[in-house]
Amino acid sequence: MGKRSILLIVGGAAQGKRKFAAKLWNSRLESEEKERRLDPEQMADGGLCSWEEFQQADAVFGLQEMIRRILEAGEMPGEDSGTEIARRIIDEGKQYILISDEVGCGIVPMDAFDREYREAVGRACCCLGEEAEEVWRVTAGIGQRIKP
Amino acid sequence: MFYLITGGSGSGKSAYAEEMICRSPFKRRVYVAAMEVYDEEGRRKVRRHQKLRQGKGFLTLERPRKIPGVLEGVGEKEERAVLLECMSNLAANELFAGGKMQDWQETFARLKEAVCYLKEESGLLVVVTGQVFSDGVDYGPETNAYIRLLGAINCFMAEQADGAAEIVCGIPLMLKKPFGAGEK
Repeated sequence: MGKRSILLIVGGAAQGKRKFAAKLWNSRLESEEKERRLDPEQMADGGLCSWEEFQQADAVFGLQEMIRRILEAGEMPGEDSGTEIARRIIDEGKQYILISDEVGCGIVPMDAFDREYREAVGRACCCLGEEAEEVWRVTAGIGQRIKP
Repeated sequence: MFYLITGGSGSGKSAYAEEMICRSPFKRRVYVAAMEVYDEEGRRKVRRHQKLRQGKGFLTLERPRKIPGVLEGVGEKEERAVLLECMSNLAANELFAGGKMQDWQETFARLKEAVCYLKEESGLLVVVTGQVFSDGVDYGPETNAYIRLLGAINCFMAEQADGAAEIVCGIPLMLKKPFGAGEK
């Protein structure tokens, strides 16, 4: 089996990214592939699950929260922790669908950690975007395919 | 030619803008750096950007404000490819020059003048700007004035530009065509 192909889905908070992802994924399945159907409520939550669960799941959302937790724990020192985290997802993870909030489009925060967090999420999404087979941006529940 | 590149923090907009300059046939690559460095975080940011530009033959001019005149003595206008990075810093530096808020209209006029100068004085101009408009937070009058200023100058630049793109996850989304590098 070759390398898995990654579907990256980004967009602002509360834009219906999970639902969109499930719809897109399920629409591509054959009818006999019922067990592979995705339920938007069953995806691994980057804000709650362990790193192992995150890496083993087929579909994850809240990548930005997983990054926040890794940074808060101080587990990823170095100048480009976002890219580093993305590399581990690409090389060691099993996910087919990765969902992240876009967090970089506001005023630069006063707090240094918040700045680091936003930058890391952005870098991670650049790295994943380069690797991904497809990238979609979801606004108001509507997906725009931005790659390829 | 004048291209506008926008995007959020960490969107990959700088790398994209540099690539545009490097793919162009213009020989004289000039990087106008508008960021003022106060601390280690700023120095780290500068180092990251310097590393990105390494070996690409950019002449770096640090100019946090008062852009007109900055290209004097740097080759011929027809051979210059100029990258201004970035308007979100330049706008803040001009608006809050000397530690207090300057007149909004005058500052806006100064920024327009800066853009027109750079456009007039180069074969290719690429301006990187920022998307700071979508977090819905009320930051108080000064920051709100800044947000309006950056929004206004972004609109002005997009009008003047031959092409404009927003970068998302390193991917260009065309806002205005025609557009050169990475067209899709």
